[in-house]
Amino acid sequence: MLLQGLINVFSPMTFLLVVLGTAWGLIAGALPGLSASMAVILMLPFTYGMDGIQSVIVLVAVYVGAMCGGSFSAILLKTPGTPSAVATTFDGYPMAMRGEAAKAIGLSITGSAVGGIISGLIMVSSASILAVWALKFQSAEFFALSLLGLSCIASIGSKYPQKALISALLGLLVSTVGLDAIAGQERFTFGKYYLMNGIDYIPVMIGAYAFAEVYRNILENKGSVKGKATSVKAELIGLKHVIQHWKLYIKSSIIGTVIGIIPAAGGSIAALISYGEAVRSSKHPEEFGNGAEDGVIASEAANNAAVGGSLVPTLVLGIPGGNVAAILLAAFTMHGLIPGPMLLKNQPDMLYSILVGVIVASLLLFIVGKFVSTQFSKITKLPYSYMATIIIVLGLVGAYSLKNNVYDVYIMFGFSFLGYFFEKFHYSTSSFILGIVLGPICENGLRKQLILAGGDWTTFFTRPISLVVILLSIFSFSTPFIRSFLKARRTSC
Amino acid sequence: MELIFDVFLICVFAAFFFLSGNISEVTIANDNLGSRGFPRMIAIVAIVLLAFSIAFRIRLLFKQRRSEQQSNEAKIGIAKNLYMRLFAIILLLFFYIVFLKQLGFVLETLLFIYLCLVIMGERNHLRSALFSVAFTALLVIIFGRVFFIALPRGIGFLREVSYYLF
Repeated sequence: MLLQGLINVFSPMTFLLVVLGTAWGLIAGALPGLSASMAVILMLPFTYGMDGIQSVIVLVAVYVGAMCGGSFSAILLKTPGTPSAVATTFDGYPMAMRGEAAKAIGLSITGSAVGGIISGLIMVSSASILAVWALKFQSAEFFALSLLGLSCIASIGSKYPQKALISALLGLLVSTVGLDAIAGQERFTFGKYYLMNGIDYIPVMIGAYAFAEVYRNILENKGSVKGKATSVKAELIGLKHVIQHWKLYIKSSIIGTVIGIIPAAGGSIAALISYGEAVRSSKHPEEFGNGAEDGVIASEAANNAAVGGSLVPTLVLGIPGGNVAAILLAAFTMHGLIPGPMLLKNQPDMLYSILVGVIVASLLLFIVGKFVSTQFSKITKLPYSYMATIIIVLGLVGAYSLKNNVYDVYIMFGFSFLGYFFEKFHYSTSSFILGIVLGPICENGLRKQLILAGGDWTTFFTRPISLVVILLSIFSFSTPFIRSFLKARRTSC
Repeated sequence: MELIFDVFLICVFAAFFFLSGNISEVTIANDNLGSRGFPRMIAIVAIVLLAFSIAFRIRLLFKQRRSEQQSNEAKIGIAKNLYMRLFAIILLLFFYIVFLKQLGFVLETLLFIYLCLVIMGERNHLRSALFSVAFTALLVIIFGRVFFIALPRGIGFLREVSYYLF
């Protein structure tokens, strides 16, 4: 069956389409405002004439490319191209500012490739077991998962943990704007219809990161990446580096795959949780947020591993693990294939073809990714006045094109000032974004579980998965405080 | 300045706290927190943390008042023209967003890029104009034609023209 998968992918036409699909995904992912799902949707019409397996392989290649491409703009422009590249911005951009943009992109490509390959292997080896296990994830576990994601805020803002916490709380509050998902009540909308859907974190992120950075650079009258990097050709990260950091690559890939499997979790949450875990387990947590290589690896390996993960429930149960998986589900149906247990029984080569597709697309990232990132990074050679203008205009288009809504542009504009002052006064924009992303999962998980448990708060501690994740969150949150306490004690001795 | 920002933040959290009182509650069995519970909880924790932060800062301010004042004055003196430049960019950005629907993406972006470059100190007007045209064209091709994003078309004549472009 593996052989059949190889034959399917390496037929000349399919292979060419996989190369083109990966390139398409990388370009779309690198452009702010064009998400992975949009890249896949736009590719969908081109697959009408293909057979079922070929079309799914191509769409998966686009998905893999887009997840990696998002990191290019995150690293070079401080504007994540896709939501799942949020965590890459935390360390990727500081690396670029240090003149290590090429290395950051190289790490991102390697992390993405390794994450994709590992998730593909996990998908094939244990798809059925994992899919059934994912269904055990209910409100309590989602709440616990959000706590785990939030637990890294103390580490991200290790110099000012109190301010990082306040930033995350503001993010959580902003996430409550809009219609309450449980009771359907309007919250902080002031009767404005455009606020009913809540505040999307993409415009907030573009404003608070990219625009705020432009403001700061104008005031400091200096260049951004340009000042240090004259040419940004992605540095190829050798196998030696992967072997040296094998624990991080594997751990991040497993986290990404597992989170990807859970319906409605997705790449951005996978990347944030993996990032948090990398911070917790690092010997130098203070380096995170200031250009730590491990930060880029953790987030990129996880978000690409979520690709394989999200395909597990889609293929095995017919339940999409995320937006893109839902589009793939539509592609299956379009070709007369009904995903679910019968699909794998009737077409066993499908799973192996997808596995080979994921692996080939992941490997292609080294070649196509290097080419696309080199082309994309040419803008960093421009004088800063040009680069700032490009960042602003791309940000405007990115915010607008999310929902074709000018109000998102206003939101981006408003939050650009918050981002500027956050940076100026040592608050943590990253923690703030974490709060916005994880807020809905946290609140809905908490309230839904309380409703289910008849208002009993102990319910979070009686469910094994939830208990373990909560304990891990407490451990993760308190680690930096314990470390600094021990360090202070040692120096006083 | 930091103190003012902290006070601003505490006001934001307080506003969230008080506004959450206006959220109408629907009775759902065992929904102990309700629609207002979560935001209120968050706002209270944040206000307490900020109150501590402000108290700490005031104490610190009394100690370092003179030296900080001097350094701030120096900073403002150096960056005055840069503040003006930033203010002009922000103003331009504001007008870009406000008139986006009326003037449409193409005309606005053309003007915005050119003016932005001029404000940022680009002396070569021809180069700015050419860059403005080239980059706008690139954006229209990528977002409008390839990715079919419904970019704002503007009104009246501008709308008619935009259909020829994307």
